[in-house]
Amino acid sequence: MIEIVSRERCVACDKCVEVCPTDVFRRGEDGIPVIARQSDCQTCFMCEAYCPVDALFVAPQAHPLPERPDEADVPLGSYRRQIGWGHGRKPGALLAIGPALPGSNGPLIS
Amino acid sequence: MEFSNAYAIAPEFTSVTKTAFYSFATFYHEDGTVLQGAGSHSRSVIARALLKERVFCRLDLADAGARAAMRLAQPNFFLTFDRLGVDPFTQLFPITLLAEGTVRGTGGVRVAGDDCSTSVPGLYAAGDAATREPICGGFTGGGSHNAAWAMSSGTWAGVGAARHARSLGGRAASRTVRGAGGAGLRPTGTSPADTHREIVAAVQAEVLPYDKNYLRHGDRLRPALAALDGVWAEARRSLRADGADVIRARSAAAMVAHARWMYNAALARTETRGMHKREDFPSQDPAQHHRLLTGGLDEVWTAPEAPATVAVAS
Repeated sequence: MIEIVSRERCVACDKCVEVCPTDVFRRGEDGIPVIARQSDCQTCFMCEAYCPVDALFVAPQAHPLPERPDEADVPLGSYRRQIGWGHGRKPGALLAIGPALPGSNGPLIS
Repeated sequence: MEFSNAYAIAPEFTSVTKTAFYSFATFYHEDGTVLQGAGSHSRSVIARALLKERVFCRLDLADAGARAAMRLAQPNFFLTFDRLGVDPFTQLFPITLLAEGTVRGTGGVRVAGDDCSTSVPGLYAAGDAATREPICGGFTGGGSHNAAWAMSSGTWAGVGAARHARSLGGRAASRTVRGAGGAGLRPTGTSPADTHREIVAAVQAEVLPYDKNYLRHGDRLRPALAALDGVWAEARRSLRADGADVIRARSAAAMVAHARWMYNAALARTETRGMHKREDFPSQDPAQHHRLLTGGLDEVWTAPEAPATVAVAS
């Protein structure tokens, strides 16, 4: 689930508020999103993918963590690097070919 | 709606349900011995084991070339493992099966025309909300019939809806409309309450367990349906929310309706076909090689598809 909105990195563009399919965020008074309904988070990582400044961290667990992790200890921006989203990057979709699945013919193009 | 019980593999307590790469997996009992017969395409074995014990997995059939290609092909698949600090190729990890309902299932709102129109004038259905039974029957994987369908049906439904809107011309804004929604919006009882979270939990208790919805049996489907009928009656009587929670209350009511259509159709299909598995009817019955339609709210009905039938969903 969403665990971190970095106040240092956030530019208050509110893209995460817009793309969240379950309306987890609320726009704070200063424009910086607040995690208002964490229990509604589906752990889809969509907000992270759309954040232009790598200010968000979604933990892989589909339940809230017992303690909120420290911003310095999490790989902010790693998901966007892997999928090649962001200015100057090669979109991962251009590289997404194969491998052939066991028992199938030819490469899987996914 | 009986084919709305897709279950997908995911690491325990996580969310990413991409299943193609489990073709490279071996599945293990808690004691480390191989879970015989389990596989990406033999998930019933996994479900049966999960009712009794934890099940573990390792993608040990992928060679170095496949491993490198997998990372490029589906970075989303590895996101979970990287953040858990697990190497899925060399380490055992516990798995679960997550119910995906009509997302990977094939049931949904019945499509009545090529423009994805439905039996309700002006309502168009697309993606996971629309039935995919006409294109892929009782089973589907992930990409082809779901991702491709999302894009194509969305395009068709959008064009259909735009055409409908244009056909209304200047009348569009001046029509007299009447709110038709009942459950979750206009309770029939005198003491409304916002119980949408309790209702969602009550539906989950009947539709998530593997021995109710995945490994189906009439003796377990009937009491589950009776419980859901009770939830519906209560929601109809009292469910109402305010502000942003209105949509949540309405979604909760829709989940109850969906679950009741699903189990009504599941009880009517007295055979095993596609993802609909009946332990009390383990064989496919050639006489049931037809689609079932289902609908109704306070009274739910199910009937074989016939040209003249007006249906809500299939």
